Amino acid sequence: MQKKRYQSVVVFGMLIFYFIMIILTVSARAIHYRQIPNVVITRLKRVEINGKSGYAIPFEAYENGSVFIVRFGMKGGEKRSFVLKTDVMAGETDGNDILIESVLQRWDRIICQSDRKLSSGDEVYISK
Amino acid sequence: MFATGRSDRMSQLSFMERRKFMRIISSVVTVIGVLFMLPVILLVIRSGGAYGDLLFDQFQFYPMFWNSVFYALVVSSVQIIFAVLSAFGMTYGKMKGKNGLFLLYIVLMMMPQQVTVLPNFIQLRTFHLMNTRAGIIFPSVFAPFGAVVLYQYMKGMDVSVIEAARLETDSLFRILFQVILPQIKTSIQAVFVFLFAENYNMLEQPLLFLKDDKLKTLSVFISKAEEYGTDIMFPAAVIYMLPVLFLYLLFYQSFQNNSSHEGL
Repeated sequence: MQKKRYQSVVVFGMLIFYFIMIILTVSARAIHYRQIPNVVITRLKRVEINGKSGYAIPFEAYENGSVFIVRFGMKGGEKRSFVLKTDVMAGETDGNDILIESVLQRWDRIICQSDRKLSSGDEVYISK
Repeated sequence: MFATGRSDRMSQLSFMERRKFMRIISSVVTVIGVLFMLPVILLVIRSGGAYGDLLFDQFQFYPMFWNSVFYALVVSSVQIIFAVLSAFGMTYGKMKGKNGLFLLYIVLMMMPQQVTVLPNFIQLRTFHLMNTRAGIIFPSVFAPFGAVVLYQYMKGMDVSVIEAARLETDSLFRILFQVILPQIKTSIQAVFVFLFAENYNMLEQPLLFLKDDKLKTLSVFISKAEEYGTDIMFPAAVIYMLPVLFLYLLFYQSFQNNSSHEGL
């Protein structure tokens, strides 16, 4: 009787452990993404503002002479996205877009929206 | 002679002396026990604050954990089936060279795993099983340990029971499943715990035969502490030992009885 009770306690503990591991396996990534800033990214686009043509970014992505761009890095054995604050030389603006005159490359991913305050080196989740 | 002499001496000791002697013995045993448990205790204490970092930031951990459990479960289950059949054949089968075969099993059991790694590697490459789960499972399922232990146990069984069963039926499988297996159930459980622990801890095979991290085991994850971060290794090690610990606790009583009977 005591042996059966002991075994049921162990089996119960074992089931709980494996159940928690299954739940975590399924949901750990989603929980992690909720803990880090979720961002929307954009790329440089060619526009003409006040007769000047060049590459521009949305105005909301520009903040006091700098923008946040996404860089990939390895963490936990896999490729993840991190932000890097980069100072840029900006030009003309029409209120929606702002011309970028140097530093950024055409293939750079620029963060235009974030649900949290960003700082350089943060890991982010690209929602769009 | 020696035992009698010692018991005489013990009986000559006064109650206080005997108590003092027992106290010294128990203190020594406690110190040795604490020394053995110290690494585990330190591991559990140091793992304290890093569970969040491991569980919600290291996603390689999960497939590796399940791979470890999967490989250990599959390999141990198949090993135990082969072990029972081999032990049964060697014990009750009438064939020439039975003792030679058993000797070969012992030699294979004694051989370090590193010796067979290269032939296994060549074989897996020939069969195009490198970097597959089958490449880990197939070479491991024919381990002789279980067969040797179960053979020793079956040899000690009462032959008259088997002979009585032979009068009832001609089917060897019926004898095996209805007469022998119920008798060696606890022994099989104990051997299974050993096999599971051994297969759960396998490190060389996943490191050499697998390239894809998603197929590797938790032992590989723990061995790469510098890559994943040393802090998360403590909680990883605590979680790593839980499946074997649970299995051991589950079969603890049969394991204890069996080990004491057979010197496992």
